[in-house]
Amino acid sequence: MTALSKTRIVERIKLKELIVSPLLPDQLGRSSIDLRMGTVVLVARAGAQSHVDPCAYRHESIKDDDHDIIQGRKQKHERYDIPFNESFLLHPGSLALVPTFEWVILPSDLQGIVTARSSWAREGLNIATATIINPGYMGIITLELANFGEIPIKLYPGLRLAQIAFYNIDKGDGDNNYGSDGDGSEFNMSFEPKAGKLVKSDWPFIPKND
Amino acid sequence: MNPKQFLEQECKNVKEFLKDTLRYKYGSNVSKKYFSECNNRLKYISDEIDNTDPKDLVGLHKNGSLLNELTGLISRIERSSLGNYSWPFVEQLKKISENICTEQTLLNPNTPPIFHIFSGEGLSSYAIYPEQNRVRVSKNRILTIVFPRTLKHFVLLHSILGHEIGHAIWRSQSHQHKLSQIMESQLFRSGGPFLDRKTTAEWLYSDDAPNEVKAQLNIFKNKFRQFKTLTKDNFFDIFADWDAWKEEILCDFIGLLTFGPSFVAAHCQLLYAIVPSGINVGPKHPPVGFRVNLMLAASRILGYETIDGLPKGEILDTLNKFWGELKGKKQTGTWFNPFSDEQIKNVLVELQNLIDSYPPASFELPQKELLEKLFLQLVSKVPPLGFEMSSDDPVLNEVDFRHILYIGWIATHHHSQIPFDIINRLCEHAIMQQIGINTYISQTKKTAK
Repeated sequence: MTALSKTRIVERIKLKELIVSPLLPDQLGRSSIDLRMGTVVLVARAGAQSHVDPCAYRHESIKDDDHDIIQGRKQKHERYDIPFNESFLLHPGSLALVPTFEWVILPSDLQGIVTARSSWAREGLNIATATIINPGYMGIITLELANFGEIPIKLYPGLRLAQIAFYNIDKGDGDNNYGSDGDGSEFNMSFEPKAGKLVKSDWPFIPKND
Repeated sequence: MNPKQFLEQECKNVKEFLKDTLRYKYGSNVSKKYFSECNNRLKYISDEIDNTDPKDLVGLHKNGSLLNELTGLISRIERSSLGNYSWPFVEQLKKISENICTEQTLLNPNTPPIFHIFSGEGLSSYAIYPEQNRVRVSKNRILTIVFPRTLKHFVLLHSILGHEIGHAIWRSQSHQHKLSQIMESQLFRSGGPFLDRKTTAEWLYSDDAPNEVKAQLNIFKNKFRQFKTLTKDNFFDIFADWDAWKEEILCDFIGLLTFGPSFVAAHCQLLYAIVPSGINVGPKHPPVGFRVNLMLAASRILGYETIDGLPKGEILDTLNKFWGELKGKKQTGTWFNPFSDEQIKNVLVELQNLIDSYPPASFELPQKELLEKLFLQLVSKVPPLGFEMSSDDPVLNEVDFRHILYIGWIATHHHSQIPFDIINRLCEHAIMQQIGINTYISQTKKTAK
């Protein structure tokens, strides 16, 4: 895998093969693009769940109109709309899902890796995981923000919180369909963050009578 | 408790209720204004009740009604949390309507209204409550904008609110006289069926009216028989409100001039969804088909169907398909087209002049270059906005959200067949992003100064 330099990133954007829209001045780094915070925040609702249990997801895919399943899903997070110039307070130890301000489309030969910007990381703000964005992905990118510091952090939509670097994919013969209609993931074409399907095909490892 | 004591208790209840609403986050930057306005009104009503003699039943009744109205306003807060409607669209709607909805008060000759938003029920809940009358102490008129909850993200359809802006303007002292003068002189009194109630009823009951209208009037005929048989002579006395019909026509014109082609498309889509036959005669609304035909004729006269200099190709084809489908909604028959092009043109010119005096209320067609850029973004499933990377640095531009809506409507006819809900989400996202771009541009301009 080779990381794209600024020149290559600009080239691909100009050719409209890679979309990161919109870009404001100073967002382009030497080998990455800064990503801004969008205008929605999802925070795990205190008291909604005693713990995260994969067993609770067992019937989710087959019973899509079940009251308890929907209630559990909807009450898991508190959702906030944060217009520009308004703020959100991220408390120590809490996790928030926020969308990027930018809309991203990756071509079939590039993978994106999202990490926190170091200046924010020094204040305790971390992207909980380095997110991999698959080739062909289309939509906002969800940033999983965690405050590892000891004091709350005030966040405003539009702040540059994360960065994305792009890497060439070494494709095999069977990989030509990447990007033909999104990346095929459950998060493709997302307009705002949402909770994921926790276990997917891991059922064999989940006890049935729990 | 006597009635006065009960009202005093209710004032305390309303005060607690008002405080309770601050548990919710409603509207962007307007929470404080709305709270203060309601609080002022409550203080005034409480004082009035305190000063009313317990035996003055008329005075108590009047103040009780005012208190009830205020409670209604406050209860709307509970249905107005930010997540229930599209705030980016609302921000832009406020921007285009604030100037034209200002009014003269003792404090300020141009007092802006307070916009309050909540989500309503059903497709026909789109509305702006204009608050024509209010208590003397109030500082600002409250314009309550209602969106159907189910259509939260369907910003293309929200263009119908141009019509509701019309109601808000009509119900303001600043414009009613002028608007009435324009409509009467250029349209209603210059020929056609709206000369007076009698001519409108004659048009409705004429031999060349469509059979569906005749059938509906026939059904209505005996609907009110406990009072009278409905005929053309009493149609506007016991069934329909003639002035409301005329107000609807005015508001359609205002919608067209404020939202452009997107208004026509939303108008056709929603009216035909509610009244599929397009024929229904309502107590407050003239027949849908007549209104749709009028808007299509007005669009043609305003030159909305073309974009200067747009070359042959994919965009022009899609634009033509969009207008082709809209024109397909036109009802045939001269009965549906009672006004001449000359009349429609004259009324449009005068209304346009009025709206132009209150920028940025007026819709202007996009230049072809902008249309092309937005179109190419949207059909590639990218939110259409004022950003491009033609050089090595990003180029940012302000884009009117009504152009984003228009391109959204055009793209619904593109061969890629992007689903209608996705186009709406992309356009809503673009409006949000464009607000971010505009904020950036305006702040950097200020810093540069």
